[in-house]
Amino acid sequence: MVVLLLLALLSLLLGSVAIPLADIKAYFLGGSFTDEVNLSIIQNFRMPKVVSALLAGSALAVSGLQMQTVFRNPLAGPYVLGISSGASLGVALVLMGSSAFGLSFWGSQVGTVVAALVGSLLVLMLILAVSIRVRDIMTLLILGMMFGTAVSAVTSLLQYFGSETSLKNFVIWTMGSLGGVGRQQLWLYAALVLLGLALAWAYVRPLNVLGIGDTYARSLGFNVKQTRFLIFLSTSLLAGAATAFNGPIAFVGIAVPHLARMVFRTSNHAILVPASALAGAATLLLCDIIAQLPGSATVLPLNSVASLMGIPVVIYIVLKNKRVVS
Amino acid sequence: MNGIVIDIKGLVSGYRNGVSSTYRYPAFNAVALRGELIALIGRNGVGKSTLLRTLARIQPSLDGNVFVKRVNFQQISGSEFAQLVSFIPSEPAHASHTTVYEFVSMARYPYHGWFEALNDNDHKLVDDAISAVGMQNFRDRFIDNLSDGERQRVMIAFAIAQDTPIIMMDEPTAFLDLPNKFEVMRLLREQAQKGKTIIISTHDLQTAFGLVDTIWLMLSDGVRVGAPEDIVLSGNLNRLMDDTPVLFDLKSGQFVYKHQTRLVACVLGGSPNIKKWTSHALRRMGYEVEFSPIDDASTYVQIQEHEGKVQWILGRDDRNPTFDSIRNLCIYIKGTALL
Repeated sequence: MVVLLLLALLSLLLGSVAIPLADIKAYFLGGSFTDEVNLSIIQNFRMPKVVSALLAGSALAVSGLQMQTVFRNPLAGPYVLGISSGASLGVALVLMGSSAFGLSFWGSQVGTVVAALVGSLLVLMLILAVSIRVRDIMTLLILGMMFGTAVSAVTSLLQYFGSETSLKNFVIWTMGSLGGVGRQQLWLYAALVLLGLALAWAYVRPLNVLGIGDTYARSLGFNVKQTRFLIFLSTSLLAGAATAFNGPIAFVGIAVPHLARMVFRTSNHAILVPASALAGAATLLLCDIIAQLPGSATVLPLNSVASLMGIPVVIYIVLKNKRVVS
Repeated sequence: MNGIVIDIKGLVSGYRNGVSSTYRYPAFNAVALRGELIALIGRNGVGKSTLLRTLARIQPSLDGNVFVKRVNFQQISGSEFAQLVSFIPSEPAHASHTTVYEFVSMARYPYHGWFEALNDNDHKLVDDAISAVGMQNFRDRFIDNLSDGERQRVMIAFAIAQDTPIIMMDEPTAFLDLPNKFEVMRLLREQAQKGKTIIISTHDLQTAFGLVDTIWLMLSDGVRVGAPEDIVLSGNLNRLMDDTPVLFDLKSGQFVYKHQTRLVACVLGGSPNIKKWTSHALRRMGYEVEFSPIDDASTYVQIQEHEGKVQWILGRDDRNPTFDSIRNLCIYIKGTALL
């Protein structure tokens, strides 16, 4: 918690324009600013960035945790259901559809978000529909991956035919960014994530039991399909929103739940859900601070930073567990 | 009859595999009483797990009814049923970073709403269940780091903590060595003596025959119900061995190989134990054993004991080969048979 606040503060302080601590104090506690420009920077850029880092970090970590538990697979993540692929297709259609099909889409920031949301929602509905019919969890995992791959293939087609400018815009989107969320959109973002987190919190016990095995869940009186449906809904809200607003951010969703498990040495989701949410938010803030390259005007792609930080964790897990599939 | 806990009426278990192929096991009638320890026995693939899972409502029945405490089990809600029947599947629970205590605590979930924390009574029940199976020193160990025997004891603790009148376990003694098998069965008997009805499936006939009250013998054409002894005397046990080289020998109470030609061996002299195990070895080698002299016997084995040393003499007079162990006796008999 303390680490999280410190990181948030750091993230507010650092950037291409250095902002004195006094101004941040002034923003939160009232008072006069050393420079009125700083107020505008904090209000319009730094705060939305910090808030979206908090939202995306906790959303991705919790949805990754849910997927690892439901699929009982340590390498599952928020995107195993194909949600990011759906979002990517939506964005690809907006950014490159115009050049590929001669359609004129609304290629603005809002358009991207709406397209990504619609894309992930469509994949989500497909997965949920299938999850009602299919009983076996491994079949679901394979179907999710197949949907994702199929959707990615369509995205590749669009990329192939897209113009150079739109292609570059798309690639930049896939690199992820925390800065793109406006203050108005932040409310929608926060609402979606909080709804998803609330669902995750409500399903702590079913998650505990599903982590042991579907048969145990059934014999303890849980309705497995219904439970799974609502957990998928929560995951989709979380991962879908994060992808829509910040792009497909890799590895946070896979690595952070493992960090939480290692630190707290438990599989009790009453602890793991809040722990992953906090750790996810902190990790993403840290990634963002590193991406800003404090003191310089250059900003590194968020996804590269997240991957470079996340991959060592994943490698460590694989080496430590040896037995990856239990 | 009083004390009927489960009343099975014409239950058809099986599964549908696609539209056309369906596996149906013949309709089954039986009752399970309070305090009864029942073993469901059958060959691999006959549908033991399917029947048990159907009884535990893990998978749907194809026909018929089951009454649990006189209520049709289809009409019982999920959490109510979980307070009546505890089902432990054959696949062991695997979950990283789950301690024995956390795992057993989950057995208390059916008694609480989703946001209701476990209370002191729950924690006491969980502790008692872990102690009942002798795992109190393992309560904070991860279940992934337990041996098969320890894990199976934790599974029983889970069932005890769920505090249900009925416990069903699918293959609880599979993968266990002999001491652990007996320990698991002892724990289950202990629970039966406390009045619980316990149904286990197993293909381990020897464990089952020595230790359960009732056997549900699953043959390909239906279930035979009886005490282990009833099942033996009815000859149904050999139905289980159809198309195998093994049969159950009523006289010795052991499973023996069917042999085409039966040679007779006479075992003479020696103390009862040595006689018993010498004949055991001869039976294993395909002989029928008699303990009195018979004229047309193909082999005679005389046992002599001298100052604590035992000798086995092959043949009728003293000039025949003499051996200091059953192994050497067997090697010689085998050698002459090969000539």
